[in-house]
Amino acid sequence: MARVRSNGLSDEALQCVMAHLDEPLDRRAVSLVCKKWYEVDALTRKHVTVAFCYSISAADLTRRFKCLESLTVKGKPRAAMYNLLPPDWGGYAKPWIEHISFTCICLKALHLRRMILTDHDLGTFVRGRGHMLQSLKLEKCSGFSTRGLQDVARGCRSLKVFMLEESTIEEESGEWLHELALNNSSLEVLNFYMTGLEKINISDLELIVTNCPSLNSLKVSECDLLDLKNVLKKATALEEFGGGCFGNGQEHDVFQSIVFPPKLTSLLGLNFMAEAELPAILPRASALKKLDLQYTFLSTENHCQLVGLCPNLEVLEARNVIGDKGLEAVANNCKKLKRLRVERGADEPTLEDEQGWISHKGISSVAQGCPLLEYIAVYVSDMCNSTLETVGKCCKNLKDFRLVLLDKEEQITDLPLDNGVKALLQGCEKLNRFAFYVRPGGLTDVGLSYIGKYSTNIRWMLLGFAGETDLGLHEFSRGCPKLERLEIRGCFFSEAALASAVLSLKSLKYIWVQGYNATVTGANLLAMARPYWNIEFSPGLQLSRDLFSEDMEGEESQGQAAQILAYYSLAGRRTDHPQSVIPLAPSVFNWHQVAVF
Amino acid sequence: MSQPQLLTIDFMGIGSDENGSPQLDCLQQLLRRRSMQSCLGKIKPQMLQQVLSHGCFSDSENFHREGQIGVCEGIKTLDLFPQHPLGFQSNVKQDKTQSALLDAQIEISEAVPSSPQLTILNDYPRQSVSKLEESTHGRKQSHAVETLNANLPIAKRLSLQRFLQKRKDRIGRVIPYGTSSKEGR
Repeated sequence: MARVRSNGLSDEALQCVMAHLDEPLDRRAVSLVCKKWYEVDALTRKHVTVAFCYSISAADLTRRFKCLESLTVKGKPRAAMYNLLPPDWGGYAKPWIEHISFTCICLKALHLRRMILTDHDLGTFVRGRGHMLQSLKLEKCSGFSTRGLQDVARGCRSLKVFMLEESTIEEESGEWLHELALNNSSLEVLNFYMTGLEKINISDLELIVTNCPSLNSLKVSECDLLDLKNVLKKATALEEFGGGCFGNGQEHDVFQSIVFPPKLTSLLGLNFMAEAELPAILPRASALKKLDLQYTFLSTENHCQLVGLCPNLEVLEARNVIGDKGLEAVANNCKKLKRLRVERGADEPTLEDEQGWISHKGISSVAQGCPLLEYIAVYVSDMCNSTLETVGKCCKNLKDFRLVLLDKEEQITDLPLDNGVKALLQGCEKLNRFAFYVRPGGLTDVGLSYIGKYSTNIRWMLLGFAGETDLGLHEFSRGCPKLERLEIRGCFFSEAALASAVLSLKSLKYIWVQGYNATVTGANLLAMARPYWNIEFSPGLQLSRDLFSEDMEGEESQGQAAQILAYYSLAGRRTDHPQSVIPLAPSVFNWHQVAVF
Repeated sequence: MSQPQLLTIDFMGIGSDENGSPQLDCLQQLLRRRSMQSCLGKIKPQMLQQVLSHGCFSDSENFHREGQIGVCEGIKTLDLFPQHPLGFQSNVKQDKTQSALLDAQIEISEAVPSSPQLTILNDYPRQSVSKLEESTHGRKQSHAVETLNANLPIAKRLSLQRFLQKRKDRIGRVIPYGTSSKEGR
């Protein structure tokens, strides 16, 4: 077969072909073929996701990709979602906003996740890009107020997607929503779910659903559902609704007057919904594809009843109150299920959900009953090897598997879980994300070596209390050929072993570790110093338990264990770190400066 | 015993004439750079890493210059890189660092014995690392392992934490004197 040479293909033809490549991995591959293809990829790349904002500067990114239409930038490490980082850790959006606002002339969509940005930053961005901005997502961000949102509402009149989910917003007024209602008629997605915004004028929401006939997704903060009756009635195009809450002390039958839109297939949030309010959603149950019950007050029996009426469910999120019984109901009724997330419930003994636990029995049921599963994330109270083997045997489409073994139960059916993990990884060949968070004794060094050996396609991994000694980590690091991002919590590995493992993991670009065999200074981590590799050490408070105040809650002390963050960066060492973070590299041994000599 | 002398390895060219005398011609600057490159090239990276690994930090505003107390009284700071002065975060590491620097001295002096730009410790009295400090470090490691599990409860997502707190408040309002014991599983 004759080899097609790139110089036989015109630039225009090459651009046409490349324009159809959307997958980042495909784009990465074509950009490495030759210089011409690199240049064409750079010209035709429409979207870039910067997985960590300190890995590259905005200037370097936009110098390469001049025609970006969509940009996603992620800031703080995932640990921030679990309150494991100080609030001033970093992830400031300002350098990005200042650059892209007036440089990225094609930019129509911006998504910031876990970043800090101010009202001033928002104002700058609106002045630069507001006239053609179609999508703005500020997810789990902080540092701004409703005044900044007002600027957005006034200056971005073509906005189709406006998302603020789980952001911490200083609320001054509800004027931003009013401005949005007056100025926008093209909204398709409006999301201020879990923002805690309270000064919401329902008439503004009604105006939005009236003026925006294309609105198909609405997720609100904890507005009383009874107040939203008219909104739901008018939003005839709505397919997804989330948030709202069932008020305390209301007569239960009043909620039966709520009529959800006819096209609704996703119901999320429904804060504090209890058994008596179930009739409000039962009429829509058979059409539901997505259901989030994490923030309801439903019992195990209620869960069983509800999922029994949802044969089309593709996404289900719940707390562990769903129980093994509820998971059996899912397995029997929800054959199209693709994503399952079961969160943990309350810890306090008097507040525990009835039957609020799931075990290997429930997971086995779901694995056997739902063959289309692509994502499983579960907090279990008990586990055994045979269940993991079942997952490996039955869930051939699994791409993302996350298991956390809760620490309340002393006796676990079957530990260690070495063989189960091995079977799961061997069976689920499409797996590219994997989290395995157990307890000491939950996975031996042998089990850890299995993870290394059989994680052929895994790119992101979280390990908790996995392995026993440095030898286990060494064996692990001999495998994982495609592992790019690694998070480790609660391990017994030394700094030298961690440094050695980092150097062995050929594809690794990012590692975060908390709770390990730390030294006082983190000095041994310098063994992994190399070009373009930033190392940050947070000593934390390495004190004995006796030194903690007696009434210090468990969660307060979580951020006190030493942390390591290391990552590849073309931007050099960051300068916006707090005092609790000590950059170890690049430092004295500045490879770039040595090269310049 | 001769007094320890502190010299400076001027890697960044701070002490070079080009900063004070713009008249230094290009050829001389080039020759100076070449000699520094040659000097650098003969130092094993692992040796420098070892020096750095024994508790030295760069010019981060976060480190503390506590390295005054030590065996070698003649040395205030170890100006291996004057542009980026080194310091110590703990006295435990200082002896190890100075010992490592002595090893570096031997290597560098063999590499470029006559370079006037080299700064290194000379005739530094060898002192073994304190056994007391080693055992303290060992006790700290085992203690860290013991407390690891205790100090790292499984973290909850912030969103879930907020919901569970609201749930607790609601239940407290409805049943202010606590719930009855839960049913068995």
